[in-house]
Amino acid sequence: MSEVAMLKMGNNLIVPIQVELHDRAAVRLQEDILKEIENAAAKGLVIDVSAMSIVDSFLGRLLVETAKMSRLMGTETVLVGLRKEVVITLIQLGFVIKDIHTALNIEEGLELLERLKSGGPKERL
Amino acid sequence: MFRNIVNHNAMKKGGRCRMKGVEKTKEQLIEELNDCHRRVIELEGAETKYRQAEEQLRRLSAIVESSDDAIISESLDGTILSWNEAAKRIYGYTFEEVKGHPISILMPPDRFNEIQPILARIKSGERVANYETVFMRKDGQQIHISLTISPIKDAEGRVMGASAIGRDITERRKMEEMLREQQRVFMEVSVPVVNIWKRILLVPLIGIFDSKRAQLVMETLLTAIEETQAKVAILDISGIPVMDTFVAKHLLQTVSAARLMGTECIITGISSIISRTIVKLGVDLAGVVTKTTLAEGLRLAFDLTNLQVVVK
Repeated sequence: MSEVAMLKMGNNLIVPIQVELHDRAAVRLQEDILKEIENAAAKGLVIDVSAMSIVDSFLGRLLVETAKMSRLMGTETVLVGLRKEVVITLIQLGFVIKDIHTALNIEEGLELLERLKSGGPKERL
Repeated sequence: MFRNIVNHNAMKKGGRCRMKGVEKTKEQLIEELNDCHRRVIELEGAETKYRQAEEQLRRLSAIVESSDDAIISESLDGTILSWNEAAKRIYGYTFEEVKGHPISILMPPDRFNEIQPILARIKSGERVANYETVFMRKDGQQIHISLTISPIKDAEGRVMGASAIGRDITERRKMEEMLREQQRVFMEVSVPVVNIWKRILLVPLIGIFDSKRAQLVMETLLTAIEETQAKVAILDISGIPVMDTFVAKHLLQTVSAARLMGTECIITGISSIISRTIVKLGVDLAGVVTKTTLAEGLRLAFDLTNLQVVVK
């Protein structure tokens, strides 16, 4: 198991990443998240990266990948709390956000998840 | 005139003439006098040429003296040979003070190493134009100088020295610095982010949108989003005079950045001209919500934040 805690709230899984992840730990985290979704039959996933000051292109790609994988398992993913510096770096790296939902904080993330699950109006217009 | 005198003498002495004890025939004398005549004419011509040359020299040196630029001539090893009025005014030394001194007398010690490469280029016949450097005045004050150094060649085309024309650009530098400073101040005030409603930000973009401004807009907007946790940001571009692919690219980047943070962006103020330009340029603004007026953008922002405008 990775040292990142995973909290279950209703049928949602919340993953607040509080440590800086190196590549290997990130890959392990992805495995753990997917296993947990399977075990808990979660319908929504919120990954909180507000404590991270570095998100490189590898980690960015890994997060998008995780979102795609969980969607295949019937789980919508919202990435929340991306910091300003992180965003600027990702944009400069040419990161595209087509395949992932984002929100400002966990609360907003959960709200967005409810809308996504009910198939209601999405955030993106 | 000479001929008349000769004829006169010849008549008097009966066809013979005695000069300094050497007896000469009339023909010889006439020949000699004609020779003299020719030489006088030659000399007169030479004098005219000399006078013209002198005139030319005076004119050229008057130009050099009255020039506003410091004009110095130096030998190939960098020794100062001449010095005009402007040089005296700009550098503070009189010619007597610098005559025979090396040109390095004008340079601050940390710039000595700039001299040799320039002299080397001059020696190979090359001209060094608008070389910007720092000189030190007699009073120790440092001044910015734009130098143009050209080789001076002799009649055979050999480089024998150099002329250095220096222009004092200290004022210009000061102006440039002032301009830069003003630009910086302008940049700082030119990206207002207004929190017009709870969790709705308005960013009116005004003026030329270059890469520096674009970067600043992005940073300012993201900072405001972090602080206010705004859900919607409205970018109003009605104040941008020119729309091109570059501006569009930066707008899209800003929108993507805001979205990564979880904030939706609406671009408003797209006039008919701008919308035509965007399509003609083939810019893809797909996925970005755009509206013509700010009011419509605001209405949409209310929608997104679950607010409603009600008539009283």
